[in-house]
Amino acid sequence: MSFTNLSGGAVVLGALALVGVAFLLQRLKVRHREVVVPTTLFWREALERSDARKLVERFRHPLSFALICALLLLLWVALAGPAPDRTRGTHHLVLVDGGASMGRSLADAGAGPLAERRTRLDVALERAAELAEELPRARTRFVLTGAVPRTLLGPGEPTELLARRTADLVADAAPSRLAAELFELVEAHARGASLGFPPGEPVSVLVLGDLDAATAERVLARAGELTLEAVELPGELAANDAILGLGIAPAASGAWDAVDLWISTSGPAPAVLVGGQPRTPTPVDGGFALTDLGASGALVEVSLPAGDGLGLDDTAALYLPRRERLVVALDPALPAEAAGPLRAAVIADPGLDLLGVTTGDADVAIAFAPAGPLVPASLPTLRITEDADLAVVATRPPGTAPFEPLFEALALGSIGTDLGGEALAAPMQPHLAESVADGPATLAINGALLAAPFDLSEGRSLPLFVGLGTRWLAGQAELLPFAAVGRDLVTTERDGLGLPLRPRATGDFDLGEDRHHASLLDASTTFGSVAATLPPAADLGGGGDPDRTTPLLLLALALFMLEWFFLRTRRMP
Amino acid sequence: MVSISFEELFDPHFMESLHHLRLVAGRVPMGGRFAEQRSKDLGHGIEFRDFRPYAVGDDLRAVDWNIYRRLGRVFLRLFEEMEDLPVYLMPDLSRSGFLDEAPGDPGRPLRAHVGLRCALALGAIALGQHDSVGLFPFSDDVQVAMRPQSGSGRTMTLAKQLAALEPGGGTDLAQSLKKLGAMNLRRGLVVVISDFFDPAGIEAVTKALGRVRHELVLVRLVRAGDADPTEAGGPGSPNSMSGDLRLVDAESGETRDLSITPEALNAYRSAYARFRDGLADFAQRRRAGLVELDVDGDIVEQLGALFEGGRYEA
Repeated sequence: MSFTNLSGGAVVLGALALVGVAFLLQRLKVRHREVVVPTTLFWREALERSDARKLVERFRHPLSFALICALLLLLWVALAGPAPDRTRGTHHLVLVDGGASMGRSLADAGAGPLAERRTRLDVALERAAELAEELPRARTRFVLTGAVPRTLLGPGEPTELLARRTADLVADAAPSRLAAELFELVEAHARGASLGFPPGEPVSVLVLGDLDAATAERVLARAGELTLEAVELPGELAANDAILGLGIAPAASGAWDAVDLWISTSGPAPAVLVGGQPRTPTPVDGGFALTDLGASGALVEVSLPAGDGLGLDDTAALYLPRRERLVVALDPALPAEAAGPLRAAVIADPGLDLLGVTTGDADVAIAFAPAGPLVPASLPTLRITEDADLAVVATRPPGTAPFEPLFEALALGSIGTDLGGEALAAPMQPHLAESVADGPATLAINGALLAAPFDLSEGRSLPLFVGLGTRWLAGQAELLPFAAVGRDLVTTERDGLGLPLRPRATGDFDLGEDRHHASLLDASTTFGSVAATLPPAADLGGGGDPDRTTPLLLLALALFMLEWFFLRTRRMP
Repeated sequence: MVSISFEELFDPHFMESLHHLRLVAGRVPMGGRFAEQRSKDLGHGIEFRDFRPYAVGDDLRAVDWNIYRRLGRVFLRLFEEMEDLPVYLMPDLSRSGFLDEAPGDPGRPLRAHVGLRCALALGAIALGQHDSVGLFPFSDDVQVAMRPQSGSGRTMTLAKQLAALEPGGGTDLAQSLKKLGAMNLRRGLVVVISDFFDPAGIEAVTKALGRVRHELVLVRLVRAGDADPTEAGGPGSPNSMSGDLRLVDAESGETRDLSITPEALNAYRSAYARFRDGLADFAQRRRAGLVELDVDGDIVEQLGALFEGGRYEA
């Protein structure tokens, strides 16, 4: 127990108060113990000598007073535990990499179950425990940079907590965020942020993990006054194989309702299960492939033989997309100059089926505005209008996704540069608009765009516009080529802050109405080296807070025994 | 403070163990009764001592007619006169003797009780050899508890008298001896049984003893804690002589505050040594008997030191 929050001044005041109390107690009238003796005849001389020292009456035991003061001060110092103000000086931030690469077992970890093997993270945590003893507790913070950074031990917290908090700690199934954290750190420091430490005081960052040389160089270049050092982690890593890539692409055969699966590994051919059924992938240049897999939403599981240095990267999975052909009804009322190019675009799209004049089973209609009587009002419709001032107007019911793919394509000019041209700008401002209204979704395009001078129908933009437009109107999801932990999803979906979506850990997640699975798929995790790329940490010893309580209490006990000895031998009254 | 009971005092085993001890005087003064001590008087005893010429009025039965037949002169035969030795027992009844120095420890009797048993022992020895024994207990004054009486049958009387004694006040040996001297007792043997803790100091005590006309035997009642007060009780015991003490004089009731330090203990020890040596020097000068009786030890065994070879010659 100690009152380490007491300042040095408070400790001194407490000590003075104790000495004062002891002094007052000495000055108090001595309560004599009454002893009846046969005679005081032989004490007379002693009494006379005692009387001769009357001046110091009530304070006749300087030795006793000195011993009591020493005892009280030792106990007080032991309990108060005063220490130099260790909150000032260099602050230490110890970053422990908690990424998947730290889960790699050591080469000498044996051949037992993977979970029981000694990993690089175990080594890092042992070193962190040593650092906790060596570094000043009041100025050191330990942070684990796993999938989500978290503090393992804050400044001033007892060292014992670190062992408790890391007892069952394993590496996260996510790529290392050490580099990202370091970048954020140096950038924050460059901006003058405090990093959680008192401003204006030097900060030393100790890294327990690995950085590639290029990242380290960039971090060091931005570090400024921030000291960045690597703590050596001994041990050679065991060999490791991994699944490095798992993704899908539209079927090369052109089939709309099929996808091609592509697998990349660093080792042998993987075992593949599609919807629980084993499939044998075909070796292709740089990996393995399964072509024309039905886009039925089945789960694809890929695995490598277990027993290498890391188990997290030996499995991967994804859900195949659900892709169904759309039935498009073409309004017979369309003018012939528009109907021709639109019919050709629908026929050319492998995912669209053209439905003659009957609209009963159609998913989407393409009609002239106002639509003819054969197009039901409840059907999502791509309209050709002549009276709009805008180039494209998208109207969607509440709660549905915006038509961003098309807008992005238009804005980027991928549909037709003419849409962004000067000619369109003057009469139709703004070019693109989106509104939310009850009823089915509609996508209206100014009919003028299909005629000169724009003549959208003459270019390649029209099939793309029709394909994107009809799929948006039908509510068909876009294809997600892959989902890797720590990497942005290739999707137009955004999070609440408008940032790209990024899985933080392996496992299933939902995107819209579809389920997806994120896998590790991180080459740096598989091939990460243990080469030191940051300057090695200097000798950090001597900064810790040694345990002074026990020796002080032992010394107090020794003094107590000395006093007892003096008392027993009557050297002290 | 309590006096000793008769049963405690008159222990048959204790009395039995005294039978082999004898108290012998060199020459007892004339004027006593016929007894077993050699007197300075020449009379009609059994043991022949001398001749002397006949004088008118002498008892013709003492004339040695054989000498007259051979020498023609009349001589008388003189014989040892055997008389009794007056023994005056002076047990100390001052309060210091009745101080319980080891409360609750039956193995450590009161000094006064031991003194009374010692007085009984010496009295019984004297009465057993037909000497007369008087009992003059004292504290700040002397009292006559039993006038000199003789006869072994008086032992019981002596014991009863001793058991009936009540504790006195302080110690004033000079006053007590002065009054004893004023009683004009036949010269005999005065046995002072005391701790001699007279507030007047050892000088006053020896001075008073020096004025006594009788033969003297001093029985000093001692205890181990007298010489070294630290042995009176260890730290923590009620009588532990350590720390800050208020010393209460058992006799006067006077209190003095004192911190027990090594210096104070040394001063005590040297004062006690002077006291002990002063009494021993006096006894040697006066050729008085002196025995230090450890009150915690066996009385008869220790008296054996006084009665060397079973007898003590006063």
